Amino acid sequence: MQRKSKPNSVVAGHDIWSQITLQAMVWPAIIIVIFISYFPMYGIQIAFKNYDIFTGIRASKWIGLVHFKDFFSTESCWRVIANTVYLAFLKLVFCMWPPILLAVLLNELRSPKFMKTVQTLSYLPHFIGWSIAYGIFYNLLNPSGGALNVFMQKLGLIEGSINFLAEDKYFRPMIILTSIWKSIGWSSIIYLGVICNIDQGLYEALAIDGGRRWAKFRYITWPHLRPTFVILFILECGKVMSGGDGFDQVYAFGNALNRNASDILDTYIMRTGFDNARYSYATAVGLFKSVVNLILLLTSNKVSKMMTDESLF
Amino acid sequence: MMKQNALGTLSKAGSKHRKRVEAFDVVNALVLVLLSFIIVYPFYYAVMNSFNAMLTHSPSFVINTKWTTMPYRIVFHNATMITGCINSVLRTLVGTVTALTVCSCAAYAMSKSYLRLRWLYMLIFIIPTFFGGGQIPVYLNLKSLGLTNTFWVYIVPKTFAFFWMVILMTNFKNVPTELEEAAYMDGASTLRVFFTIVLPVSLPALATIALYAAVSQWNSWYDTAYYTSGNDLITLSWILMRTVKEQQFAEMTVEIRAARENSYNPEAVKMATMVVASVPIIMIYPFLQRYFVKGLMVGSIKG
Repeated sequence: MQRKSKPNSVVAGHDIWSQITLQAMVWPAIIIVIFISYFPMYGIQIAFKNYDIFTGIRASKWIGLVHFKDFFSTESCWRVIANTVYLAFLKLVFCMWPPILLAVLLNELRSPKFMKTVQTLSYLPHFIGWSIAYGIFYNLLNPSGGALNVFMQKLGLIEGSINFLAEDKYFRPMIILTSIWKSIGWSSIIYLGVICNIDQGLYEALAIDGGRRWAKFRYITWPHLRPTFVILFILECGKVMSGGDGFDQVYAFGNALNRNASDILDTYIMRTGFDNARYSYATAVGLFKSVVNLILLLTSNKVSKMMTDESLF
Repeated sequence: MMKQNALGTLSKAGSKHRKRVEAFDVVNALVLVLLSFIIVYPFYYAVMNSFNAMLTHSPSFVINTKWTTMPYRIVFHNATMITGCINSVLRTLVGTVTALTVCSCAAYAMSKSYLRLRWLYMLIFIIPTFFGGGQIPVYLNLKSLGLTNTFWVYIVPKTFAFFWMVILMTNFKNVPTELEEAAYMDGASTLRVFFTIVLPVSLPALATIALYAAVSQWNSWYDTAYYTSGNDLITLSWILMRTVKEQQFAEMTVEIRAARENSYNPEAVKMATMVVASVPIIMIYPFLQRYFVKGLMVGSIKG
């Protein structure tokens, strides 16, 4: 009754009960985030301690930067870091533009039905995980009778057979190509969404001026896509030390035979941490990784802000 | 529907200016057909090989010479596979429902500017997306919480994701306030408004998050591998990962010889396992398709 009597002075739903309800709605998420994401931050201290399972995190002895020094003095350290950064760099260069290209090409199609078919097919690989994807490619790239080898032999491109999965030099191209295969369709959705919302009048104005396709892309489509691209690029920069978020994929495709190329920080951490149970050491390497990732994210954000006016925050 | 309209106007606007088919259109169509083929062929090859009755790789990359369903019978007679199937389905269902509940409730509250301490909550949510404890502290934490070796280790860590919340939040902000105001005038409570007014008009966004959560749950192998032991909590995707990791070196060894003696092709069995593990999650897509593209776009553009 009270609400009805003065509908303009009190905005509906802003009362104390509404506030309590909203608080009750947000707190489950807060509690989960605190337990799952913030509690582990307390455990980071074991990077500076000699963690022992039986004495626990707090009671273990402080030993300073010993684990970091250990890591940087190992032989494999720089190889692992170089592998990680190189892989992430290749991903930044080769995996970011194919979705844009696909979105633009899809948008040029005249038949909506054809467009929808291509879209749907291109989403397929997104739904399966890297374990399945690897199984599929293992079968396809198999040196004894796999389709790709058979195909290349029939074309006369190779004589024997190539074991793509067991040689250092094939590892990175394989990771990049399969990454594109898996993400091109799904990542194009976001760009296609932007393209669909571009004011058609802009294109018509350009067409009257005799604009060609390239001009349309250069002066209208790309400027609209650029903010999205820049944001995704910045986020990707924050994943450089994780090999471009590639742990699942690298874990699947990596093996002892291509270890020289496939060992990245994340696989190294899992191996030393879980397989060798060197918890403190692996935590130290992990901390180094996260800190560098954070610095890269903040730096790229800042650079982007200065150069393009686009930024995350 | 919005997208359809946008595309509709787009093709109309385009056709006004170019009625005849240009060389570009032909090349473009060919490129996209080729691309679709490259994307789909690995799937086709896997399915084909899963029905392969030969003891070696199918000699042709186009079609099998001999067919059999034997690999599938072997897969479904394996007790571990059955446990894996059950666990994968369970964690996907439970995980999707909990993620939807927690994320949409939080997102609705966070979409209201009059939520007290909203800035603090935002900070709490955003920090972990840029900095985390790292693999080992996360594991030690789950262990000390008593989650390891329980089913809940699959669910709890995946109930909340900042990105999912942002998509939902953007969507809830776009719900016309008049709808909510009208319900409040009728004396509805906040919860009632949320469930009867806001959620029903947000189906596209909800479907998007459901899809994300389901795909992430179904394909997750990392937690099974590192947070559980034994076969009780095994999942399909970890069975697969383990199989593909082992096969690299197990090739031409005891396993294969045993397979030969029992006259089946171990490669075909592996491919049958792959097919069994991919079909359910791929089938989810057509059901959610009519909602999700729109939901994803609305969330991503504004967010």
